Amino acid sequence: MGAVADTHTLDPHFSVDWSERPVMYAIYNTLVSATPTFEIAPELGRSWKISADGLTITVSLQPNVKFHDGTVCDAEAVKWNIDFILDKANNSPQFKQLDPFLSGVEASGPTTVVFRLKKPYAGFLAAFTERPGFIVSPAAYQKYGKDFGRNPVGTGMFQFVEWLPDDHVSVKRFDGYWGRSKASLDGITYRVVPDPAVRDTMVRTGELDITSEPDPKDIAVLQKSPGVKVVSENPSGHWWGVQWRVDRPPFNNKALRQAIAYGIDRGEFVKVMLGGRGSIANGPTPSIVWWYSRTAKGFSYDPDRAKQLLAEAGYQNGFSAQFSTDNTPVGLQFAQLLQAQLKRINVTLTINPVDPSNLYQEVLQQKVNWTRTDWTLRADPDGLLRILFYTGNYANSTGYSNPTVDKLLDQGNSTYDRNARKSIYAQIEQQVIDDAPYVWVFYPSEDAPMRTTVQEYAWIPDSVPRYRSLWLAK
Amino acid sequence: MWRYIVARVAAVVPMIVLVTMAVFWLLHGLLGDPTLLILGRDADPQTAQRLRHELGLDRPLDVQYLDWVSHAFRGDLGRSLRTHEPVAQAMRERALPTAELTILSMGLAAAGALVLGSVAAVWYGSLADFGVSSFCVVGVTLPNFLLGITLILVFALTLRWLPSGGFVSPLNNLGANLRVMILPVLTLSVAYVGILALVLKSSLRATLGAPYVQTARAKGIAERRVLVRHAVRNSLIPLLSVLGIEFGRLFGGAVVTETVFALPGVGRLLVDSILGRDFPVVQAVVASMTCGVLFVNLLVDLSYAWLDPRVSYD
Repeated sequence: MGAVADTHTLDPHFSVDWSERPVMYAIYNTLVSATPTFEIAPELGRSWKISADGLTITVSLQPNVKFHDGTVCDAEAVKWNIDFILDKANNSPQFKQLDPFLSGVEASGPTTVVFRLKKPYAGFLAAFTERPGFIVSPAAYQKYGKDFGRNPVGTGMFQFVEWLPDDHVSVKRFDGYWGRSKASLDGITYRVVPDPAVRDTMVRTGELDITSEPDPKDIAVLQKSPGVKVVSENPSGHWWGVQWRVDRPPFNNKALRQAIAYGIDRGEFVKVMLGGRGSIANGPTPSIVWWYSRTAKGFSYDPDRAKQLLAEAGYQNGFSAQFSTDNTPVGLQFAQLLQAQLKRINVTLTINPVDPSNLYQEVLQQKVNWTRTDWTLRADPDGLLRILFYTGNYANSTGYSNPTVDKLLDQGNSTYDRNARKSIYAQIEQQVIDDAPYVWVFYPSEDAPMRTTVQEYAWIPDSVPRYRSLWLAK
Repeated sequence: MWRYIVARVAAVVPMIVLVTMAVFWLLHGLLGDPTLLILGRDADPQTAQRLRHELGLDRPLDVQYLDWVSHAFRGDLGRSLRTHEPVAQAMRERALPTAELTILSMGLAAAGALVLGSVAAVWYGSLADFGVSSFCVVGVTLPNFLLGITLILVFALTLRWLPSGGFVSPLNNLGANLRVMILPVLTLSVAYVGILALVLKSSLRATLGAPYVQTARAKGIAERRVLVRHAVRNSLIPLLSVLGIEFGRLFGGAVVTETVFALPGVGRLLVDSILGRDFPVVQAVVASMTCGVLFVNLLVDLSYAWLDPRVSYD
């Protein structure tokens, strides 16, 4: 398969980059897994029980699970992994995901792990569907030390073979896999091909069986190419929009923010920028996940209403502002289309192109105010909504603070009742749409070009391709 | 001559210090620290601060630089901030594709330039000269990513003669290696064939009009021998000077070519490390590229004496 970028480490406890995760889902198992609608499903943990006070979660592990190095994956091994992340001295990037709610973990039997929580936390299991949930072999970790990231050992369907940096990572089927369904492929080679046009060509020539992130311009050609198909997820769990500092002028004016929200023609974005391959975004939650709210009402394109709100905000004659964006072709295209649309309501944008790896730092340092942004959903609603909207949260980069939203977020993550949570997150959704610390524009579709022989590919809303269950038709 | 070589090699040291110092200050000053890229953009500030301290990034810049220099002099280039891989190992693993790509491209460019430049100079004003000159101008102006993609579409997709990309080590399978390298080497060398051939053409034209060439012809020496033994050899000095200068630029072209053809080379390592603020890797790659360029230029300077016995270094 064709990978977009090289992996930097295959040690999940230190993984940050998106490009590493497709390989990790083949080599490792997570404690639990996520379905295409972000429901939680068993994986290494086959069942779980939540205590009446919500503070203890007991997870039963699959029996007879072995790591690729032959050591046993039992409750002690799981405990070792969680303790490693929670140990501040290790500086694991996964620490921040577990520390706020997890006080400790015990192995109360060979296959029983008991998690003690600081407070009830409904997003508990979802956190273990992603990076904090990958279980590595403690024996291999101690053997390789800092080099474990190049010698990964897990319990997954495939075991590591070799990694030639910037060229490929290859894995082969693990015959001692614990699950009932073993891998159908003999192995997977993740070839790093940075250029999207070349990746697309390699699918057409058959040099690759499958890839992701095609050049949008190539999709029509790929769909028409013999022996090639494109499997898409639309809408995806990845939204694009704009953000600003709601505590700094001029955007500390709600009417002004709403005016701009009314002035954006989302349909035109989907049509012109995405070539129709995407969906309009009216809020932070797409229709593909269980907490999506049918009742949430977003802003539709209404230039008259936009002008009226601008006047109410004190900008009868419009205004000028700087808009920062990543200086990638798509980032600039987004900014230019926004500039053209807002010109219609007398808002003049000056585009400030910024190096993509600097943009978010400049936002955090408040060097820029109004910027383009995009985020991908987490497996639990609390994940993204909390970091973006809770007052003072480290990733709340808009300065947004609404006591009602804070209270609702606290309520939402302290009850395990799914229906109650769904109604709470619907209220949060509507509130943040109205307050407009972000204005959501679209969900680009996620596309995976592949040979027609590739079977059973399914997108998960976190946009990380999983290849372990694929098989090839003859 | 030996004194000259020693003096030139000694001059490399301050050059490397200057270059790495400039890179160090530019990276740290303009791009900021790498902790957010290591921990992810949703990192919490306490963990980021702890990591910054652990990596020594909270120390003054001059202290950090001197620390790097003192380790580098002891042969310790450190570990990558992002992969924890020893920097020397990261460079070693990627050296082969880049070395092969640049050497083959330069070789092909020099050989191509010798033929095309001579044809254009000897038949100056003819259709052949027009054809060669046009090819050279197109080669110089054509962006190599465009040429790379076009070659892939023609030779990999349409004709299915060659693979689109990837790398096979020549130590494992020389035939497969050469097949994989044909398109990248063609892509990278075309621009240099153009520059070098145009330089050779003008230098050779001047030489062909020189009195000693006339004398050689008057002596009845065959035209081919006049050209090869007398004219071309004496026209090579400007060509070599340009080759030395262009060698530095070749690395820039290698970055693009490596990206298009998915070659795991040093160029891509450098770009990836700059974007990821992986300072130890950037420093080491820049220092070794500087050494490479200075070394090639030293060879070029020394070759002047071989080509022209009047040149002396003492």
